[in-house]
Amino acid sequence: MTQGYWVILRTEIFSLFISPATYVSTFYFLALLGVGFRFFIESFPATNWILPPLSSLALGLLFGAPALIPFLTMRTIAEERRLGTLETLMTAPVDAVSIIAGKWSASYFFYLLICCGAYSYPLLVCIIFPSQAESLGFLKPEHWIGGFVFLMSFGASFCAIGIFSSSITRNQMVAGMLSFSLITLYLAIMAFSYGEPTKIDEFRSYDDLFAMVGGSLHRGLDKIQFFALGVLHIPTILHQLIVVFFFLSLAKLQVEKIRH
Amino acid sequence: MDFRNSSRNKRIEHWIIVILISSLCMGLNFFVSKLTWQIDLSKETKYSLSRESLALLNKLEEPVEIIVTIKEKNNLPKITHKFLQDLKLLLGALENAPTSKQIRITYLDVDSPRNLPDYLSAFQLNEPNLIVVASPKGGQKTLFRYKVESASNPYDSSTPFRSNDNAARQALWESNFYADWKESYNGVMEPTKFRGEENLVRSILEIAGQKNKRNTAYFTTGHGEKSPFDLDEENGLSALSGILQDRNIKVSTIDLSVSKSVPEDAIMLVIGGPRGTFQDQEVASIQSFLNNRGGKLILSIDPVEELSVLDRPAFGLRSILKEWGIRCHDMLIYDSSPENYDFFTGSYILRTFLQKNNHKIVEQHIRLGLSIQSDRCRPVETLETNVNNSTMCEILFSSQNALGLSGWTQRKSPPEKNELLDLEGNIPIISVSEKGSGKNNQTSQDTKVIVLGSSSILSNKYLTKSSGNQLLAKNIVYWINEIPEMLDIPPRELNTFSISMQEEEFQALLYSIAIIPGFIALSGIFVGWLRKEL
Repeated sequence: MTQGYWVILRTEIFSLFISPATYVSTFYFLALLGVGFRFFIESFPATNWILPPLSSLALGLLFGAPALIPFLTMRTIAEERRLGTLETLMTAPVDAVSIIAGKWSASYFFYLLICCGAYSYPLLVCIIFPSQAESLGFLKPEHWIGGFVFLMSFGASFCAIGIFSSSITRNQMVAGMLSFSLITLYLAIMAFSYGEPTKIDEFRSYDDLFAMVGGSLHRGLDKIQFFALGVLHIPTILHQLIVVFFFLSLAKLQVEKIRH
Repeated sequence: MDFRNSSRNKRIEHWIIVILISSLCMGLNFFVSKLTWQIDLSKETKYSLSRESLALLNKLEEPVEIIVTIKEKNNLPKITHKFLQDLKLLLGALENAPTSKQIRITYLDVDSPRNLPDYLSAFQLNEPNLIVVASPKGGQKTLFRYKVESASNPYDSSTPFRSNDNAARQALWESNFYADWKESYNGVMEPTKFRGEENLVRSILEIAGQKNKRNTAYFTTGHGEKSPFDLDEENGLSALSGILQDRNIKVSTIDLSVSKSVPEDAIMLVIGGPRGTFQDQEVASIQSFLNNRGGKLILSIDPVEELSVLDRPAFGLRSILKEWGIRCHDMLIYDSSPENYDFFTGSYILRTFLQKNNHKIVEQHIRLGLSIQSDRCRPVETLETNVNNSTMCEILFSSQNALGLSGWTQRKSPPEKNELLDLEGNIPIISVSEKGSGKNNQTSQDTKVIVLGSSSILSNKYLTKSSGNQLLAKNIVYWINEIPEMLDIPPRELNTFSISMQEEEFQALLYSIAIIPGFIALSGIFVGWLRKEL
């Protein structure tokens, strides 16, 4: 199983690296993020921004994810189903778990590479303008680690959503639009519940039940305030791992359905 | 038929697995949402509780509720957002702390039509923008209150205009959650230290730590005093009463001519603007309370108009005042300078303090240039001789042009100075006297006396309108109620982020940022070329 996983991972990473679509999407994404970062740095003192400026990148990448993740995940399974290579793959000695985990890991790896590309902007500020970097708080390692862990945890779940979307259709455009919609919906629910004062220890309505079982869907975005300052909120990370497990399990079910 | 059943069964089986996975994930989410683990990566773990706090919180005797009714909205002032962020981190750390009793945090929307949760029904929580610490037996204490000003027209001079940001800053400044306010680059005062941990731990210990049975402020009655329950905009003392209750001090009244002594649960006596004289037995009760039980006294007395009470100076309280090194002349302070009166209300404005060694009650007034408003007032001096080893201090004075008029009801207007009997110059109007606990005291608390030369200073008339008077009243209550052995919790340094780059530097930054997407584009072109060629 492990060998199968590594083979799939290697193949998927290779296919991502030779796909023009990933380069185009990464170029546009990083270019827009870079321009946004430059103007944010100039204007943030006059705004209501209270978090460390470095966290603007984490939020930019988080809210840019609906535009980025579909490009990384939409073709992974949908394309194989369309071409009929998935059935061939299933005849090889690899199980559905290895296929799903390998494809997800490859997308996630590429997503993390893009995050590293985005985080090189503040790194450039540190190299070119060290005194400004200090006054902007760029020299605090906890801000870097916190923001990156936040992105890693949400990136993992968004990639899982993308893989699931790709597994339920043969058309990669449909898969892309579906993953865009699901990730946008996820972010919208988090944004709507931002700052909601409902931390109550008893069930008094369906809202409270949703708050308990919905995981990071409910007030997940609030936790950026913890991560941005270098406080790792473990339940948020665990919630995202549960989301990864949920969507990858559903994707595995879909793939197994094809096998049978 | 069999194939059709098989296909249907597979579909059912598929959906059952989906439902099972969903249920498992929801169950896992439920358990994970109960976890409160955090890893603090900051230097010196500044977002976690200090060792001192953890040691103190292990002494809790009952569970604590911390209720926050501030609703996080986008239109809140920036300083309030910042405060909420600092507070959330602190409350998270408090909730996770290994304490002897549970500390539960509740973020409450008081505007919601839903009833309060059962565990909060015992508390009075119907106001937004509060932070309250409460326990079932220890009562409740309001740590922060921020009233949103209703929108007013800035061009209408009849209604005072204040921005929400300004009101929020004042509320935060008064709450003592932040310290070391400094002027920022844009001229606005910004805090540099967060004292939330000390504030909250102190309050939690007051509410749920070892019980102090002395937690009631008794307002004397029977001599025409102002009442703590009187909501009258001019003469009531309900605003002062509210400040005391916010500090978890109960408010009650007492007629000392009926009660033989001051009750055991009394922490302080308040005599607010008496009109009649105190009898010897009442004076003896007050003396006993101060001398034997480490009591506190807030006395505010107005100039005497009625000749009938002149035979017993200071309404019969002269002996007490003398014992504590304070003299309260039966005079009226007259000030001929119109600039010392409010143009619209005619209130007398007091803004003269000592040049150095000022008392902590007025330290913030001096720093911020706040004045105190009053109606007619009388001199309250300290004596030169130290009667019972108490420390006396005059803290607020009239202007240099003021006169203290003796026999003022008989004087012409404008009065001529009586060289023999009148006072002149900066005449003290508020004085304090305190004495450390001696061996004779039954308690270990200091005795403190504060005398104000006008009852209007603490009345609703000025407490609801003048920031200086509000701060004075709060500081008097803090000073009276302070526990000297508390707490050695260091404040947390706040992060401040700023940038000062020139336009050319921003241009250079933009060009350097372009390197990354440029590299991606070149890599893509190269890969495209390779694919074509190979």
